[in-house]
Amino acid sequence: MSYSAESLKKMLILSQQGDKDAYKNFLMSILPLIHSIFSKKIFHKDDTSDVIQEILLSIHKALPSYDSKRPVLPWVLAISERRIIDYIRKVTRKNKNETLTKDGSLTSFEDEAKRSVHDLEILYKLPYDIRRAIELTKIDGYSTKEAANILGINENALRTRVSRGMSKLKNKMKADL
Amino acid sequence: MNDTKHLNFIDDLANKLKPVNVNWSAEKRTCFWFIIHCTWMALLMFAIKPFRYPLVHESHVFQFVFEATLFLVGLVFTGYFCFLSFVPGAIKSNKIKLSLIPVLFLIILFLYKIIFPSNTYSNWGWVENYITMRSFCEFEIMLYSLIPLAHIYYLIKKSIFINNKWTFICAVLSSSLIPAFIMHFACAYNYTHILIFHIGTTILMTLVATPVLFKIYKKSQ
Repeated sequence: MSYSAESLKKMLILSQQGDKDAYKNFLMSILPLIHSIFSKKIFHKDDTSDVIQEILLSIHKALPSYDSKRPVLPWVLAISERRIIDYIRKVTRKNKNETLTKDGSLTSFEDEAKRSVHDLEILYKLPYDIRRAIELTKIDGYSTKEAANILGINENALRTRVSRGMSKLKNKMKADL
Repeated sequence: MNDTKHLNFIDDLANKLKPVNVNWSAEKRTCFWFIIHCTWMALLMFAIKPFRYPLVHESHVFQFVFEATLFLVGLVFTGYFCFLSFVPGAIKSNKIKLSLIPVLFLIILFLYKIIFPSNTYSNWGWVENYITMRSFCEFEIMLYSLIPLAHIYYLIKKSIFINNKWTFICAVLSSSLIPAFIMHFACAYNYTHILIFHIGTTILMTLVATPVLFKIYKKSQ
């Protein structure tokens, strides 16, 4: 399905007025365009579908921002690009936290830390107040507010303890690798 | 499989569709924002201390009008580019920087006038300047600019798309240029004073408020 920029513009204006068919046609006609441009930029092919859905959702949310005096394609591409940038940032941030384990598989230190809190040997090397903060939030599943109440400290102090504890755990695990 | 998934998703979105209130254009927003804030600020400033009379010495009328126009162009440009950056694809982020040209030109002009004063101007108006000078014009500029800034921040929060930190720079700069523009009529007409206390305050506001506002925005995301 291919449309000219002018017909896309008409469809989008009708969509702003609540025309469901025009809106459906509009989304259907930009879908191949989004797919062709952005599928190359998505690192993991499994994520393509999710990212494209996020783009469609963003277009839906940004519908009031379209100015009918302006061309439609830059509007679509700018929204799509923003979602792609968000995706790339997310993936890059995740990759920064990943490292190779002994068996050669990729794992995130964050996930590893969460799994390893059960490993009492590592956990019990931490100071008592930090250990309790981690036990309550990561093992017992209390919310930050509840855990802070139990320990009689404020939420910010609890977050600091958990963050310090988790980073110490990560460092210990790194040393073990 | 994916195509079916997308088609179902599109169907869902289309079924949820309701008529939307289309956002005002950047031009309309800039006009509204400028007129509203200029009006209340001018009225308030006049109520606190009447504007100077005569506005300026006869031999400096053209010069004065030219500077006032530059102020106006600077604040309208920064405001317009800020609002334009809310519209996806309307402007590229590196082009937003162009809105700073009138402000830079204004600064250069005032610097030039201070370094190379005209022979009549340097002897004119010191008594008048002293009388017409507002005691706390820099604080007034800071205080008044907070309201247009809060307004524009509300619009930024409502908008799902903003370009980048240049949007915030333009927002703060144009908000603080409104009172600085009115001060051009309401406070002493002296280049050093205008450069340090009026334009300097807008620059200070931009340097301080932009990172604060940007951080608040990022935290709220």
